[in-house]
Amino acid sequence: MKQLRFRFRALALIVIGLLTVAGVYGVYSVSTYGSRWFSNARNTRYQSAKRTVVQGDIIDRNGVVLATVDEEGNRVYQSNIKSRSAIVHLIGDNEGNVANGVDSFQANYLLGFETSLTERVTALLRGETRRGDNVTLTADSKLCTAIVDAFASGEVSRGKAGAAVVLNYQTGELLAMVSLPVFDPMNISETVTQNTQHPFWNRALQSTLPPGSTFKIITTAAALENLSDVESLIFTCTGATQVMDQLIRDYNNAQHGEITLARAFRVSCNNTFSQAALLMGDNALRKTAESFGFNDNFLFRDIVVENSVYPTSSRNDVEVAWSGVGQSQVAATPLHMCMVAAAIANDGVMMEPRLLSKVESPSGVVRLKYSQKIYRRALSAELAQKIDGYMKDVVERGTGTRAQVDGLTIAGKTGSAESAANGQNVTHAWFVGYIDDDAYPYACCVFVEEGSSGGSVAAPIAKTIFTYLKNNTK
Amino acid sequence: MPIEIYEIVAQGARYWFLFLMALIVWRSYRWFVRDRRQRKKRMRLLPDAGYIGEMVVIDGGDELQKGAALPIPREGTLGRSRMNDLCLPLQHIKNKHCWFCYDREEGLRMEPYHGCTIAIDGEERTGRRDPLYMQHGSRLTIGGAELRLRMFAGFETALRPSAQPTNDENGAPQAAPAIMTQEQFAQWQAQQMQQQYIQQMTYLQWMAQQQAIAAASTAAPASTPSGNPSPLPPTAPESDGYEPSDEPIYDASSYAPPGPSRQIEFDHGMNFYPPTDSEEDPWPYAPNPDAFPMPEEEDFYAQELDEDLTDAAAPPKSAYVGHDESEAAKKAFWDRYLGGGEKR
Amino acid sequence: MSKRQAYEAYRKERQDKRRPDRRMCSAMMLFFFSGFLLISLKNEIAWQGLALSIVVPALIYVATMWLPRFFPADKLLLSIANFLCALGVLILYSTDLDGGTSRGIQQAMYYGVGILVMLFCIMLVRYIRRWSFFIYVIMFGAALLLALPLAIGTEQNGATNWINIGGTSLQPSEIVKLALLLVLSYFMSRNRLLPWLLFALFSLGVLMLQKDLGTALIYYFTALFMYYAATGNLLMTGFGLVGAAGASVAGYMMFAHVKKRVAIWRNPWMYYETSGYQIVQMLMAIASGGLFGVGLGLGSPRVIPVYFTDCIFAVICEQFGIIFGVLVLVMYVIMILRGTSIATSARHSFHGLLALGATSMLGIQTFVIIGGVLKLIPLTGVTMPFVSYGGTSMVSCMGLIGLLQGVDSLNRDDLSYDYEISRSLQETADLPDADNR
Repeated sequence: MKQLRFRFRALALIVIGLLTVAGVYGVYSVSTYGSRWFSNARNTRYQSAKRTVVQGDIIDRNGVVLATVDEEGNRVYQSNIKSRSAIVHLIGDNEGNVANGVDSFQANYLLGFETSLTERVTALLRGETRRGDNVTLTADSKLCTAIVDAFASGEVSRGKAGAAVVLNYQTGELLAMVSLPVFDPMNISETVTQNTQHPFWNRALQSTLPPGSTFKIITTAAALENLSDVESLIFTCTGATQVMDQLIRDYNNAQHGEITLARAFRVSCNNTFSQAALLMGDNALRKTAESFGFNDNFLFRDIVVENSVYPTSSRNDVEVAWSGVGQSQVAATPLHMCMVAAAIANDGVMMEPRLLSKVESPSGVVRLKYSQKIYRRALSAELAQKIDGYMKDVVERGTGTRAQVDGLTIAGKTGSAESAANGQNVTHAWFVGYIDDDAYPYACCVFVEEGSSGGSVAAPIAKTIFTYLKNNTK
Repeated sequence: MPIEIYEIVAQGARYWFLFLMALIVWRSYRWFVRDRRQRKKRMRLLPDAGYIGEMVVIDGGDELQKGAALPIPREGTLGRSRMNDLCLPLQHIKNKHCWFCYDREEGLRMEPYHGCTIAIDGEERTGRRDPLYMQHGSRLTIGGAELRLRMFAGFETALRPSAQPTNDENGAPQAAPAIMTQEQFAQWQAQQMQQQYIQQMTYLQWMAQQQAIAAASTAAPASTPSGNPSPLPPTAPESDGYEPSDEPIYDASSYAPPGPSRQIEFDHGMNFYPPTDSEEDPWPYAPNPDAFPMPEEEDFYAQELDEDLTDAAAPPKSAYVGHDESEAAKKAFWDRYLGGGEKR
Repeated sequence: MSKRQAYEAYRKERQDKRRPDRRMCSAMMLFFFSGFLLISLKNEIAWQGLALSIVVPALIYVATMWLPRFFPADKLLLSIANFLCALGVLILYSTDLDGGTSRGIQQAMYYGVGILVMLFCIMLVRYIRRWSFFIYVIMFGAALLLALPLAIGTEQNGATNWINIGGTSLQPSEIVKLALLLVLSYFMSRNRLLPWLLFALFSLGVLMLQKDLGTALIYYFTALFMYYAATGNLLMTGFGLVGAAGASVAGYMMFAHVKKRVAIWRNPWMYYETSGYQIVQMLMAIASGGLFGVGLGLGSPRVIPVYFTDCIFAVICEQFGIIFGVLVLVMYVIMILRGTSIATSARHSFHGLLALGATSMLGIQTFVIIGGVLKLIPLTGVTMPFVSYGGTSMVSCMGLIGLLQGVDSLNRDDLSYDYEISRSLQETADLPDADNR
């Protein structure tokens, strides 16, 4: 019986352990994911709450009211159709077609779930109808409109799908998040729902696609960390590098001959970077990518973004070589690539992108003020300086010259990523870059689906963004 | 109540409910801990709780100390490893050698495991065929050692014919042979009574004579008593030890052998040993499992061992059965009825 | 100390207000009084609710303080069980008000039946000494009962394990649970492998045929726990675990609905319209409760399908908060602790195994349902003990703690017996050394 007693206690301990795990997991998941589960647009509690509470307003950083409630209790957006279409993916529409727009993701503020008991009591005593809190965003709606216009005015980019993200790399404020095609939230018709380009899809946050040559920022960082004297190393670009049974070529089959890393970055030479990737090895490259946030589960407070992927299984040389140039199952969202550029600009410190500038109750109680948070330190300051130099080079005399703006020092990287869609090979255009000026600490990422050349299609849109920022922000 | 007011009240009430729930959980946890503490205290106060008897080592070879008493729980295992209830560090037995269980009717049931051999009073068993039963006084031969079972008072069972205490042990002085039939026992008991009675009468007579002498010597010069038996008082009557003090002196003529004061079921011809209870009350056993005991006062457990009882009116510890006292009691018991064992 | 004095001291102590059962009982009564009072003031005054706010605390008082006087019951277990049952009634009643159902009152009736079953189980364990014949009766009767739905059963929620008898539906697998415990502990304590193995395999097979995978899971793990407790054979227990893993993988491959369950466990949002709806609604409910809950009577519990049986924990978390939910878990943990202490104080391995089996069954069932609600493991079709609505669920759980309390009463009897013996020994110890009495 002594043995029996001992085993009884052991088994009881196991059962209690299981229950403890369940309890701890419950508390953990509710505190971490609770807001996400709740902010689902399909939550019927919203419908019932909307009956009793007047939704709060959404305001942009300049005071422009983006969404409010009219006298009949309907949600109305800006009167200008272009303006409200441009921000439709940022705010979301009233029917929940756009996933996790501000209107649904911040519903706990907008529908007054965060009002305290005393406020409710006072409101009741005063006989007021209940109103939700007003949410002020860090976003600039005019910038979003300007971006949509820029897409429309480019020859190649007109009519194409794409996305653009603008961040303040010092504070992490999200200034613009645009996804094209846009639609009018107050007029959702059949054509919108049947559109084959899927306008409800938020490409800035939800599309993970190969970043192409913009990934060379990370490859460079990895090379600088892992390969000694790589800056003085001379690579040979013969136009085609044989790796196993494939040939890696450059854009337009360019040949660069003997080339250093800096120059390869400037001209975006695939051969160099694939050779560098093979030299380093997959593990080193993956480690650097993960320090930039690849393979991490993004749990940002204000936005829901898809995770970026750098493959973790062991791979053969061809795949590693192509990963060095941002292909072969490497995938990232435009927001994340913008964060990568922002990290370089900010001396290697990646800030968490935040959208809420202020949340205020109708009675004036401030519930939330803007606070910045460091997401992670991507790389050391001196390496960031080096890459900063390379990126400036790209815009000055490399592939990104079309992003230059008078009076500003722009740094950037272009990218032309190959992907497969509907069985055909398509090339997406990418540009990531930033203004190297403390007065305008902004980074942006432009992505044009099937835009072919990053330098010629995406860079001009970035130029429009930077010009706007120069003219309209202090 | 309109819904807005109700919402406010309900949201205020949720803290109240949470507080009450925490209170309930806290109190039930404290209750549990308190019960556990009391149980531990009980176990300490009743060191023999749960045990039914002991195995005394008669011949332990090298590993076991002669005379050691190993307590036996109601059910358990016997073997070499320390995780057994009865741990015998003998070389020739297995880690788990035997399983035993106390059966109220038949005794201590011993079931050796597969391939293990034990012998009880000479009968050998290997493996799990018919189990053997041990009673009070049975001998267990296992792995070269010999042990003898000694049950606590109250765990009596009928003795089997083969469980005889051999007489080559140093015999206890005046213990009657433990094996006898009922008639024999009645006769023996009557004999004992008569002997005691005679002794007591003699003693009293002598006392009366002494007093008379003393009285006479104060009145008249001492004269040697004549015709008296020995000048020394006979030895004090050997009391049974279990008889109450205020029992009236037996009148030899009115003697009638007392019937058994307790129902003992035994087959004709089976042996038994005398009951230990006094003539007053039957030995208090646990509630008869076949009858539903009606609640006495208000609580089902009329004799519930509430520990505040022991705390508040705590008698000194010596009022409870200390180890030495229980040892002495068991020794006396065994000496009385089994013809002794090892002198300790 | 004479017996009279002892009794006086005992009586005084009984009236002491600081006794733990009194304290807990008063806290519980206050909880339910305020709960029912609050809920009955929602919308119009519900007189039934006000009546319940008096009746339920009174029932709790009777069941916690008076019942153990007449029947040998363990007060702590009984109090916790009463609390959980009353909590279930409260939650069901609060969802009744707007829904027009009367589950709260029905649950109270089931509770009454449950108490009777509990008393029956206590008596069963206490007074039957010769199990050897009886156990075979139980075994074959249970096998028959379990196989009955295959013959005359009706289907509910995808599992054919209900039978309809004269209007009430009954789930035999819940009753067979108790028989399983008895059979397993009897044969394991006597070290006879074959009978219980056959019975366990048979019942597992029947349950698989009825597609009641949650109950099969509980049966299997309880049997595994008891096997390890009885034999201590780590190797075979390891095989058993591996076998469970293998069987679940095989089940995943073979059965489509298992695949579906696993898919909606991993990502319920994708299958929102169809099978994932339940989990999504549960998660939203729990999240809207947050830490402290939205308040009793608020929130939208009825959106969750089957909110009254399996997913009632989500409703509790919504209305009272996740902290409250964790405290309810702690109550279950205290029950398990108590059950373990009963099992370790048992004198015979049969009773010890029985107590252990009941305790682990309770614990495993609680873990399975709460893990399913919190999306820790895939949701299976088991109910939450004591809280869920349902006659057979209530009956089986009360039966489980009835078995526990039966073992506990035997322990106490043995302890009283030992106490008596030691007292008598004390008397006899004094006598041989006395001079002249």
